[in-house]
Amino acid sequence: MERIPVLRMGPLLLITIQVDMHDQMALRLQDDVTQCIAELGSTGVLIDISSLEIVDSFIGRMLANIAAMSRVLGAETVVVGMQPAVAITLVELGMSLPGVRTALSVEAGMELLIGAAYGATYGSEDERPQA
Amino acid sequence: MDQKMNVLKRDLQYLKNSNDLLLARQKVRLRATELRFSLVDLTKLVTAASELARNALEHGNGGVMVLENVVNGARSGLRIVFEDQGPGIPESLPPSEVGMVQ
Repeated sequence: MERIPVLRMGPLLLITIQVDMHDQMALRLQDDVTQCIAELGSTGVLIDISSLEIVDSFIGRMLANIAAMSRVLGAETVVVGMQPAVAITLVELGMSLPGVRTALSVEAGMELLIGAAYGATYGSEDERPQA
Repeated sequence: MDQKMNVLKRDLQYLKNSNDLLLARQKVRLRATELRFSLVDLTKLVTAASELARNALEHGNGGVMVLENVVNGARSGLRIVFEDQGPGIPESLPPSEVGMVQ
C-alpha cells in the first residue's frame, strides 16, 4: 500500500502530504511517525499540508492525534502551509485544530521547532511562566 | 425542495470503501470546478461531501452519492444527495442530544 514518507532531518521529522489520502494511509502515518520518534529520538515533527486541498474532520483528527502522540513521546509537532481556503473551511466547520501548533511556511515551522528544542536543552524563554 | 430545478446531468458514486471516498471527493471537485465555484466554496463543498460520504461509509454500511448538475432559471448549481441504509438517529432523542445541523 502507498505510504507517506517520513524524512529525518537531524533531530526533526519532515512529512509532506502530497496526495489525497485515503483513511488507511492517514492511520498508517500515525503509526509511522510514532515509530520514527521512538527509534530516532526526534524532538520535532514538521507536517507540510500545503498540497492538501481539503482537511476534513478525519484528517483534522489525524493531525491532532499525531501532535498529541508526539507530545507524549517528547516531540513537538508543527503543521505548516495550510491553504487559506482550507483554514476558512475548518474554522467555519468549528474545527480549529486544537492542540496543534501551526506556522505559515516550512521555514517558520522549522524555526519554531528548532527554537523549542534549543529551549528544552538550554532553558530559555520556553521555561518562563506563560502569560 | 424546489420542484422547478431541472437536472442536466446525473452521476452516481457508490460508497463501499475508503477508495470510493477519494473518488467521491474527486467527482465533486471536478463538477464544482466546471461550474466555476470559487476556491473557498469549492473547498467547503468538497469537505462537506467528504464528511457525508464517510458518514455513509462508517455508519450506514456504505451507500451511494448522487451528484446532479441542476439549473433553476438562470442559476445553475450542484445537488449532491447521500443515501445509506444505516440505523439513523432515533426520533425520540431531543434535538439537543442529536446535535444535528441543518
